[in-house]
Amino acid sequence: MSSLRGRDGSALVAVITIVPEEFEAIRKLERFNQCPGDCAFLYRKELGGGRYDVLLAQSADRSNTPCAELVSDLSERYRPEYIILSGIAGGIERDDVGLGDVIIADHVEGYEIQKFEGGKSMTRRVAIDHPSKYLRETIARRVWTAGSWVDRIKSERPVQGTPKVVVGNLIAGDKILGDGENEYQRKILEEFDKAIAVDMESHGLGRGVFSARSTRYYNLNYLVIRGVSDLVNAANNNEVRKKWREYAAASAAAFTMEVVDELVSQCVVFPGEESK
Amino acid sequence: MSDQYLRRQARAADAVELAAQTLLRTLDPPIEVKVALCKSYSQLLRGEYSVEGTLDDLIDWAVGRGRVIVSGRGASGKTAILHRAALKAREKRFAPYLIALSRWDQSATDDWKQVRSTSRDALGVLLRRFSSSGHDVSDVEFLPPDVQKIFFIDGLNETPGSVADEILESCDEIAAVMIGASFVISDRLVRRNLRDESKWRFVMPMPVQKLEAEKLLSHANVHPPHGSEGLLDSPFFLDRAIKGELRASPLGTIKEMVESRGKLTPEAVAQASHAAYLAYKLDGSRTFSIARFEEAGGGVGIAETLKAGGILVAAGEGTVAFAHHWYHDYLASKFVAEHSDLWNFQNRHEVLDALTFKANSFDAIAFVLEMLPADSMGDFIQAVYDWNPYAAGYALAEARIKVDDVPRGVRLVILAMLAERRFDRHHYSAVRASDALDLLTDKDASEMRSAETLTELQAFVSKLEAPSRAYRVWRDLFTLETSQRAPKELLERISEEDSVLGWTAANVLKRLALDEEKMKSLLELAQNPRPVVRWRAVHVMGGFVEDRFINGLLKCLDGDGDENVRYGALRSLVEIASRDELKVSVIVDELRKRVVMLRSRPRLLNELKRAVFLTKGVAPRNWSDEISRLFYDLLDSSKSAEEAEEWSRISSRLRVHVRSNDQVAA
Repeated sequence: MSSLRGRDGSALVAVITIVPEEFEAIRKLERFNQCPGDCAFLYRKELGGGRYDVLLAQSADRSNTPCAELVSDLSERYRPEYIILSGIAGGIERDDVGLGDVIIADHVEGYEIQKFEGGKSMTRRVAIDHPSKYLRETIARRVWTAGSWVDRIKSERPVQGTPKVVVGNLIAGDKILGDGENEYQRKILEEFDKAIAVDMESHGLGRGVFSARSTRYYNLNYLVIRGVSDLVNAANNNEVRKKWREYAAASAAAFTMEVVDELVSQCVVFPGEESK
Repeated sequence: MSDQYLRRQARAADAVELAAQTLLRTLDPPIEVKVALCKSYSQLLRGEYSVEGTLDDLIDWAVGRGRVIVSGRGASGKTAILHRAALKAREKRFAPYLIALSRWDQSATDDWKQVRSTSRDALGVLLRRFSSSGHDVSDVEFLPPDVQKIFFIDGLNETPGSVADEILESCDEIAAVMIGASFVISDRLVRRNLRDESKWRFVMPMPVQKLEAEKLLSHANVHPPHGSEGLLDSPFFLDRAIKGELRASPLGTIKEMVESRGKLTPEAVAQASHAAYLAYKLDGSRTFSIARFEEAGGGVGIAETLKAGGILVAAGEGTVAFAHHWYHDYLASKFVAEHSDLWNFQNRHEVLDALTFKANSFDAIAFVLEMLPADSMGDFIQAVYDWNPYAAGYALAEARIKVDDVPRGVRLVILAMLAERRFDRHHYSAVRASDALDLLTDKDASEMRSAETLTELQAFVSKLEAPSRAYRVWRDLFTLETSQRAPKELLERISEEDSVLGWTAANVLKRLALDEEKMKSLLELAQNPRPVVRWRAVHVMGGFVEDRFINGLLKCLDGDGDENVRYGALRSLVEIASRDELKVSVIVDELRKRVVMLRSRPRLLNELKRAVFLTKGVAPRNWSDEISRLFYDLLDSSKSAEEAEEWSRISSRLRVHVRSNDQVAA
């Protein structure tokens, strides 16, 4: 498949992270280099002619809009074929979700945009793209089944156990949820009764991909991989998050890089390999 | 691609070529103009650059970054550069589109308001109304991804200021989404509110080389008039010189062209200038109803005479436009220069807004200054400063007047007040003041620019010899030491009729210590019958973390009948919040109760968005978290998803701004 070129080059996959722990978790697994020019992105391998196998980027800030802007910037400069968001999220105690587990989103929804009328609030829907079925059902499924991603986790697990992979709905908003007693949070969790995790960026990612893909020639796909750092409807949420944050970021990073390697092995022909 | 599509594509390219060549034919012989790339808006506004380039480079810069602003003074050749670059792009087998905004009018603004939230629709309006290509967005998007699509948008300054910012936002979004799309946009020397400056490239037209000018003049066998040598580095005036129409000054050249070529009697000139002013005031556009000539008492006969002389051109459906915007600026500013009541305190905001398309293009201000007799220049430039400090700096820099034409005392006061603003707590106010000061190159401006603190600035001002008694009075005020007790009479000064003294007193009071009695007096002044006194009083309150002032300001914000006072109260509330970690929460909570009111007043809401960005090192630790609470309330009550996204974006920008400059106060 011929790849599109952005202003600065092209890439197969771009990995997006938000907070420094997430960024560093990826960098602990692989060596990345600074992209040429004036952008802050890193690349893993150059395949020649300004094409890269993997780019690594960090959002300027938490929350959905900067993430949407980062997708826009990456798409314009490198037109990656796939984007993977790797990081931490708050889990919701449903479907056996536990601390340190990896969540793969099959559907993303924003809970923040609401309309207040007559004393009631109604969530409004905004058009976005949802995570790629192809990436989830083929690439991620293979990594998950193989199970070796767990060996790549470069952080000590706070308590004994093995992380699981859970697929389900993810909700995103700009305000942090993390207080089981909070009425707003209760309302949100009630409304989105199938959600198993909550973060602050995935909706922006979906919006950004939807926008980037609004052109005839570009078919960007994305995946959200989140390590569970806390359970938002449990007590002592903040303390738990501090304890599990690094591990959750590391487990998400491990799974992400396995997915990336699987994609690269399927799609990239490295110089000299053609003759083999 | 279908044959039908390919034929339409070929027609579009032909139309662009025809439009470019039609314009360039009027500029024969061609004048070679180079461009230069600047590292930032600030560098551009200072007149500095990093690297010189050709039109090929300009196209490369556009393709490389997707967004280029070609910004320069009037007559610097921007239009010709864009048209030539469009032809060059066609030679390279790119798909160029020429969008000329010089005929922007009120109906365009109305159309624009309907589509501005969707960038493709916005581009569609620009293509449909201002491009001769016949292509719409769908046609452009259908082009293969390896074809570079370059939109050359000429004359951003012809649109109202808020529209100009929105056009830039739309171009920014299209450049990100549409594969191979790039924009080259010409504009006057003003700083626009860009969402992300780092995505843009800034280009300035270079002056015409002396050798090139001499070669063309010699070839045309023309000797420009004595004293006009300084104009020959401008492509516009060099072209006039080649055609034998250059006079010793820009204003003289334009005057001659309008009045002689337009064949108008002095009475008809007066009526035409009235009509030109009415067009700016009533139509808010350079394209206007021909009826304005009748309303000015001249009848359409004047319009016909001007048309016959090539000064005025028909713009369709009973509307006309001047052949060059400077003809319009000249006539409108002549009217303002001859009616000093138009720039008294009551009228100046409305009149100067109209004359400049809401501070979008300051040429007319410089023309007024040039036309005024020496004894009125000081009053006028003070009036301009009162309306827009940046415009005063621009007018002083741009008007072809000698440094001494404006009384030195007035000039020093304006420079010092601009220099003082560089230390403003509000980031955007400080940046605008620096921009204005950067335009001025005389020794006083340079010295004031180099002052690194207010104390250094005051020391410099103290050293200067006082050219007048009025200056001495002002200087004694301005140099009062920070934190000393405010003298009794200073509070009375904020009721001054003289706006410079009144505002200087207000600025100085903010940095002095107020005792109990003066605080009470200040609260009383916030109830003064004169709006300007109330405005100054609320301005002073911003300097003090006092509960009674917070309450007084909230009262003004809620109930004052004057918009400027409410605006000043909001700014001062933000300023007090920025001075105290505990008060931020209190003030944010109060403003959250007023979200509905803020929403109903766009000027307040816009100011809120800007005022919360603080200069380096002054933000309390909880600043962005607290302000975000207010912004999220605005997000929650947004009327559309786009508006909600905008509040989310501003909250994030604020966090990044605070972090990136390490601005949290120790």
